[in-house]
Amino acid sequence: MAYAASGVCAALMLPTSPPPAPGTVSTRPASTAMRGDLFEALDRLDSAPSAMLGSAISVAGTWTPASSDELATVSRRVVSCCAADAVDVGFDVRLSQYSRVAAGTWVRVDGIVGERVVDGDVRFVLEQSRVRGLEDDVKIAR
Amino acid sequence: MAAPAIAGMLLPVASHIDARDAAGRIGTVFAWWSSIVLASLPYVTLGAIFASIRELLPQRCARIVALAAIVAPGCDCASAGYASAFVRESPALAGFVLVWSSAAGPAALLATYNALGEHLLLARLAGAVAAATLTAAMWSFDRCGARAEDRRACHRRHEPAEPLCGRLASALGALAVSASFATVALTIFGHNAVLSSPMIAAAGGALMSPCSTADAVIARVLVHRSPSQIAFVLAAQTIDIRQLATFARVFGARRCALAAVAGAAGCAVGALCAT
Repeated sequence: MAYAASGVCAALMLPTSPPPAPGTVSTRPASTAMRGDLFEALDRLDSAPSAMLGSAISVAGTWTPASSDELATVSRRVVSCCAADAVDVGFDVRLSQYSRVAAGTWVRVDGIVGERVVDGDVRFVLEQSRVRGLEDDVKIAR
Repeated sequence: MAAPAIAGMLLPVASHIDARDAAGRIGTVFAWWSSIVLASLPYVTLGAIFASIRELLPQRCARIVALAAIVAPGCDCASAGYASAFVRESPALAGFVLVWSSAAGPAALLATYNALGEHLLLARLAGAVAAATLTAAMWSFDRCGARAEDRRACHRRHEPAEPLCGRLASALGALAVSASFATVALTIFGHNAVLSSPMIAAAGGALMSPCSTADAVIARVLVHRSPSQIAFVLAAQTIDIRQLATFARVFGARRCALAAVAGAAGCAVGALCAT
């Protein structure tokens, strides 16, 4: 009975929504086996960055709003084994005009590929971007 | 009287803590720990069942079954369940099979090919061969460990075979502890660390202890140079807390230390091949 009660208590402590991936969004590709415009864009950037920089692309992913010290991001999660091994990959986003989008919204972002250096690490950013929701009930305030 | 005094001392601290944020953070960390344990559970269970079946087989068939562990698909966590099946085998066979199945299992090799490409797949194989072979050689020539093993084997010969539940409980307990260490490393460092040199990448892999099917993906995202990527994935399977805890529990601290040295050498070989 004690073991069963402990198990129930432990299960109740688990969050009802997926836990965040350990770490921030990475702008590096994860695997060649992943399918989707965002993954393919990251793969092309990794193999030939100079060919992609300055070009306009459109990617779909999960939106994370900007914070005081981080740009907004559009990303997709790669889970190979368990939640603790999950990584978020995608792009930093600079919007051409302010849009209020809730965190976790499935969106499409159109922008021009650029790069910036953060703490000695090169990150790819979508400049002059426009975001639009891909779900019926998504409202985006501009 | 003590309660108000303690509450009074905690008030200045409480004003700096956002209780909701702290509760959310604790829930996230617990979710990571639970995901490691729950994802490993089926493989550890299968490994323990495999070890129990091996006990019932005659010695010649048992060796063939043991070698099947090399090609067993799925997570390397299964070795926590079936490591005890190799106690009665020769040290060389035990060392080689357990290190190889963790570092170069079929699922791990496929994930490495997809994430890192053919060249780094070959580097991973080279590092795994080096680590497994060195472990086999070191355990084979370890005379002090052999005497301790003889004493354990003699003791076990007069005992009934360990029941499945006991074997499983032991493996899961060790898994829960090693998952705790991995969760602490994730909480402190996350996947934000920039693992530049092969040595730092190997330390990161050993601490984070990701699954063998996930280490290549994490390496590609976190680590930028090929030698560091291979050092990360090999360390994550040969000198990680989960693997070393299994060796210490089943084969003793001395053989665990020898396996760690062999694993480090395998990481160096893999990094050199990836250059």
